[in-house]
Amino acid sequence: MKKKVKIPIQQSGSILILVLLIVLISFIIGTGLLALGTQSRITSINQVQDITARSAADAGMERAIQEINNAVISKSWSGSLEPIAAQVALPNSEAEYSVKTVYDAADGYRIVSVGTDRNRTRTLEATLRLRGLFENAIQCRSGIILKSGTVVDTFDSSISLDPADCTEPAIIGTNSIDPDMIVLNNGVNVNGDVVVGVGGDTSTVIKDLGGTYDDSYSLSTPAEFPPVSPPSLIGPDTSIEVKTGEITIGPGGDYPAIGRFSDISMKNSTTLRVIGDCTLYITGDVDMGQSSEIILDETKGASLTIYIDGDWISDNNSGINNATQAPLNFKLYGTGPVGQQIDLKAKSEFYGVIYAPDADLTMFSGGDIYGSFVTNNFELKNPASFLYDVSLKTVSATDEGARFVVERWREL
Amino acid sequence: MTKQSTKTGGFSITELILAIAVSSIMLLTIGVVMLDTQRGWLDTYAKVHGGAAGDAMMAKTAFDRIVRKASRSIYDIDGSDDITVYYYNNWLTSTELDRYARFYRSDDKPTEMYVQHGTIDSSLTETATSEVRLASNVTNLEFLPIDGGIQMTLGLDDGRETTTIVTAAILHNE
Repeated sequence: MKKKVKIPIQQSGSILILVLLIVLISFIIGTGLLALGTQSRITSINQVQDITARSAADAGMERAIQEINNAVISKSWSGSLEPIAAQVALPNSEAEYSVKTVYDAADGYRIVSVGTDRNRTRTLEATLRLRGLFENAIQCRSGIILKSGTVVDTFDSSISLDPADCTEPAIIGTNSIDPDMIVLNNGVNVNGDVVVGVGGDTSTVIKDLGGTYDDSYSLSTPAEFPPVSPPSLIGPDTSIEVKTGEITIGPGGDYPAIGRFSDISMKNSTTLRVIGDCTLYITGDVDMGQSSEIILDETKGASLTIYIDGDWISDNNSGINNATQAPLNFKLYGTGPVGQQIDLKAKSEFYGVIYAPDADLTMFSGGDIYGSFVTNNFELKNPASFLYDVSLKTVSATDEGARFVVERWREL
Repeated sequence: MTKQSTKTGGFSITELILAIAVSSIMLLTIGVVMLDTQRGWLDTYAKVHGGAAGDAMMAKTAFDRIVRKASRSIYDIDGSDDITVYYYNNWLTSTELDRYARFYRSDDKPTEMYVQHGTIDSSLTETATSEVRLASNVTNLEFLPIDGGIQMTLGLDDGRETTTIVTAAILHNE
């Protein structure tokens, strides 16, 4: 019987080694990729947590400032207001912030805000100061036209009316970046800077026809124009009429010191004399006839604050005569809609401040102008010295339009 | 009686060719996969640790840190790729802006971005005290004023990795 014998084929097992080798290499590469991926994720997570922690700290800071300013606006602010918050969650994140505020009458506010996102922490510190409505000599939303020969400078009314006693530079500026919004006619001299809107090109926004100034640059932040509302005055809602001669307004005068009136109408060559502190809300127009005059009587401690919804019309040779020579004693707030027209005149020097960010203002004065103007458009019709009172920067929380802003800031 | 088989062990030429072909395909496939994996690994490594990524991170961090503490009152843009911001050396005790930081592309080496620090006096005269290279392989650098701050666009290309970062920082100080 034939018997088949199967001879086994000898195999070396090399495929096993090959497979193990491939597995080993794949394991090394995979581990490396995983490590890299993990590191990449950790880096990203840390970055994101840093950003959210910082955002939380920013939010805490903003919240404290807003809380303070809300009290200022509502006239309920006092130095005892020290906003505080602990572990407030930042919406849509796992971050949270804590804020601590300290107020000191001498040094003002100091705020510390700490933002945390898991193991990442950011700490911000800031000090605040009060900012008023009149930070610059002339600040407009749109255009400024200065007559040939105008000089813009500064003075400090707490020292003297002499510009030589004040070294601060004057600043005039617009929020606009459109061409030719600031026209400096031949001979205009700004002893300070001319600024234009954010991202504006000074060479196109400023139409320089022979003016001089120290520097020009674009704003990093648009100038703010906080809204100003007329006070809640009740009546008498009548007209203040000056038909002949002179009438007085103020305590013991022909018209009350405080009130809401429909308009002021002055015939030619008449006088409205202000005695004492007066606050008027004019819902209509002010119409000053030819050669008429509003006089702030310095012997009676006069001051006049006017909120006006309508236009201000000044005929030839009429004017405001602030005999107190203190700009803050004549305050004009334009509370009308965009396009409000204010045409002011002064027979000699003009002392006053005007805040009418939606109004177009034209000014003609027989002498120099002391104060500050904030308007939509402004045109100076005569060559005068426009002198900004630097003491206007010193404000109190009860002043119209005052609010706290960050003065110094740091990130730890 | 046992009959000795005369048939010898081995493969036919067809089997060998087939085996070589299959092995070649397998080796080629494995080689391609491994090469691809290696390339991916290197790309990933470059994204995390590469020159472009590191430079982008460094430039962004420096820009954020400095611009956030700079003054919102004044800064100076000279062209689109050169900006100088001003800040206080001591946030509480400095009475005037007394430091500056200038971010710019080198004229000599336009592919490099620097930050130069220095002091300023009351007339804003600048005296440089230090200079640090923030990034190499810069293909684009642009600063743009935005409402309340400055935006930086930085493009980098180190030959392996192309990165563009856009970051913005708010100016906080007076």
